[in-house]
Amino acid sequence: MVVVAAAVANPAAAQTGGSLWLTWHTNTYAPPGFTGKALPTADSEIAASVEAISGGKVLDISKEMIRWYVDSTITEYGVGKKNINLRAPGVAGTKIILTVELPGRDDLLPKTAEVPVVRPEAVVDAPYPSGFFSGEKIVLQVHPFFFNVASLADLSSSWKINDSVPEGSANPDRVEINMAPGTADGFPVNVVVSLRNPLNTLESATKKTTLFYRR
Amino acid sequence: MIKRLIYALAILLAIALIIAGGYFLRTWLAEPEAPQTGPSGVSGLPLPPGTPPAPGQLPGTPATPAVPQKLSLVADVEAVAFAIDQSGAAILVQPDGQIVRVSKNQSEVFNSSPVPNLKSVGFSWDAKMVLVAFGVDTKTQYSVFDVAKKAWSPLAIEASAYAWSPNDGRLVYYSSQGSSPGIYIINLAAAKPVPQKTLSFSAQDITLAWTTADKIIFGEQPTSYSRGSLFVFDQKTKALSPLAEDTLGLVSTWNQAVNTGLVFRSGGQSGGDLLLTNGRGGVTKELGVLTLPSKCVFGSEPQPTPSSTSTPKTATTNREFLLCAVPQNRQVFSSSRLPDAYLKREVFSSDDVYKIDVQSGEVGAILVGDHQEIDVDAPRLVQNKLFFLNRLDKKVYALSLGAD
Repeated sequence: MVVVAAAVANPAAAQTGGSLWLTWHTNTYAPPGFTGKALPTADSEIAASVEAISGGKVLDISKEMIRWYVDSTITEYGVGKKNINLRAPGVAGTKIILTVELPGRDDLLPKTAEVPVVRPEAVVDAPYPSGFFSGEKIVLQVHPFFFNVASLADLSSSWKINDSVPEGSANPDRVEINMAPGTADGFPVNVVVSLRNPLNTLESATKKTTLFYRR
Repeated sequence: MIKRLIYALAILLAIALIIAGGYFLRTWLAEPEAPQTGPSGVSGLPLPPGTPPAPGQLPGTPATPAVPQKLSLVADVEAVAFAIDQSGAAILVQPDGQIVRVSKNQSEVFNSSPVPNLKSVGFSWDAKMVLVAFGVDTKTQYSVFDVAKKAWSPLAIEASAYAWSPNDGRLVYYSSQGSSPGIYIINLAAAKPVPQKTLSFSAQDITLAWTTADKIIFGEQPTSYSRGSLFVFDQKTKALSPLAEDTLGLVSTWNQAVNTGLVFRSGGQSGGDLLLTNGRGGVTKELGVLTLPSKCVFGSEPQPTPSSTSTPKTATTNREFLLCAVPQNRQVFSSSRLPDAYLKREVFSSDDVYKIDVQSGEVGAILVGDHQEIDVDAPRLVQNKLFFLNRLDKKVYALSLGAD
């Protein structure tokens, strides 16, 4: 059965000022210290929750019928069903339209959240705002984002510096770049790093960046 | 006849010279037109002293003459977090979890044993307690370091977000574990700390802030891909009020009274807006600068105001301001997906520092132009100094705001 969530503004809700608060979470990997929101990639697990806030209070909706829709299709419902789990589609670059409604409450509008389904990313931590670096040696670090893994150790990495593979490092997420004496000012250093989830060949990310040496 | 002609020509020439000279002097001595745009193209900001004016700057942002500034390195070690204690010393937590106290260029290691897999650090208001979260994968453990006793105590809580009280040893945290999710408060200064539930609700990816004794702010972790909301919970009245609703890439910082907020609203694919809002979710000003609230800090200073009577006495009121680090090159931020790219360390900035009057919106230069590259994070205003973590070298710096 396909049920389309109500999308028309409810005048009663507008008058009372009550609203639903819909939040979601995915357990894709993000580095420690990242204070942004982790995003789901293909096949990621997603958890969603809803609360109702009205008159300066969190309402008790444990006895209310709650319906959940994914892309306008009802997926779960039940009395007091405030939390659900779902799985992102198998293709990244899309988004999930997640809607929740309380059909028994005219004073609360349905709420919709757009949940992006992104590709995993490799971010090169190169703290050089102008793109220029100086000194004989710099260390670059790669940060993986949004892989379906629990830790950095679950990923494999490979680096290339000006088309050459650098010598092995104790930390595969880092690369050390040494500049030869007499290197010309403005010399470009092309950095390519690839991350791969060995347990899922479809999960990989490559980042290319160019830095310039300043004497 | 010829003599008369020469005489008349000489008079005419003299008159012409006087007119031309007057025009030249008038032009030369006249006040230059108000500069319209910063040299970096940062609209809405004043120019550094001595910079020639350029066309196109927004009106209404007169430049405040910058006083001599001093940017100094607090400690030559990397840090993930810091606080300034009541004696003015800096307490730093290094990436390996070591805790160091630095005062007058003397450093003392408080805790030399590393903390494995450090995830986050939070200081109590007086920097006497340090909460660290650590662990592998999703199994997060918590410990509290007592700076005076130089001792660790494990803390048995299940928390996905936490914040210290602004004026005592209480910690607020959100727990989604078990059958009773919600916000809890635990007094870590007590002999036997016991968590007390303050507000029941179930939500995902929560962030918490505690700016004033009675008010706890909570919302969602920000992304430009999805809208988020922010609420304030008054512990005295038990009232919950929205501060911002359904905002893309919502990042904010609030003054102590939680009646003025600096709110970033993402532009989606790139850039965004910086807004001053009130405690009821209303926008009071759109600022002409582009930065993130995490690079700004609220402050206040006494300002004499004339009394209403005819006596020469003056009353003193507090004037609120923001100190904001703003990228010198606006293009860096306006073309980036914010706040995501910045929080992922995909984008770095080279900042100037400005003072923004909250009431008038007037912008004054604090540190601009040719200075050491800094990318300001976690700013703290303590005793007329702006302390911050420089994201470029991960070290703590101090910027003197007045003459030493």
